[in-house]
Amino acid sequence: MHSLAQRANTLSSIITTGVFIVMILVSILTIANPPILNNQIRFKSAKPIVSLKNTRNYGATKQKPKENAKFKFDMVADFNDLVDWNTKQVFAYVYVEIDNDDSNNNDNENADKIVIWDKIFDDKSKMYFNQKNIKSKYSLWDYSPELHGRTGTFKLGYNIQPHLGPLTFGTIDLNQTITFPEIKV
Amino acid sequence: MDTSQLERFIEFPIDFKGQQLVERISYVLITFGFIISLFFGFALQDITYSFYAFIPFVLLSIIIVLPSYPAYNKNPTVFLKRPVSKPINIEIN
Repeated sequence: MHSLAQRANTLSSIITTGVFIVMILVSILTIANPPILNNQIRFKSAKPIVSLKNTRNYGATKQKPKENAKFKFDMVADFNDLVDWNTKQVFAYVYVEIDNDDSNNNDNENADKIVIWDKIFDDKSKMYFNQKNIKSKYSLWDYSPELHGRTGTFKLGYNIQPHLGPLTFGTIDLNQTITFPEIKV
Repeated sequence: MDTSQLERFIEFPIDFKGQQLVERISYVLITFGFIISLFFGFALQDITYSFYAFIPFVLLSIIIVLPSYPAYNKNPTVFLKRPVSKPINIEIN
């Protein structure tokens, strides 16, 4: 601490150490209080439209066109419970869990999960979402050849990104199961 | 201005008591700043405000700690004086 350079060095060292301690403390606090979404989410999807697509962007090959599904749904969701002082943004996505022949009913690890819609909520004052007739952003197609006749369950996944600390993931069942209809010509 | 003066000007030296004081001041100020800014951010429910509230504390500690104020040079180290060499008297009886 004798000279200017030594004092600058010591001061910056103290500040850096303090910043690290505070970062660790805040991330421990964030891990210790995982946010839970208490509000019931209201979700209602119309019957999906299944159609045949011929381009590779929709999973088709030269020989075989692929069955794709489109959705239209209404959703009311309040994400205010997920926000605390450390939250940067919330990423919410709706996906369909299609039953797979390989998987047992108890084991959902192998079920096909396909995201149809997502949204980033980065404004803490606009966490309430209420919209009707939302079109699905992403076309649903699966690797298995047929889509019609299979059943799918709607689920909402969310992903809370904090300023300091790890990501938190969560899933909510949207309580709707659909059977994919025949191909619309 | 000779070289020793120039070195002194660049170095901004402070004495030992001043060094102890400066270290204590910087620890107390930074700890205090962290506590205040964290509470500030928690009160406003946004951790980015804590970050902005901490910047003034950093600037304040730089202003207080870095220059060599006269207050940090109040107790200069006193060195022993070089013993005065006396002419050696050799008495021959």
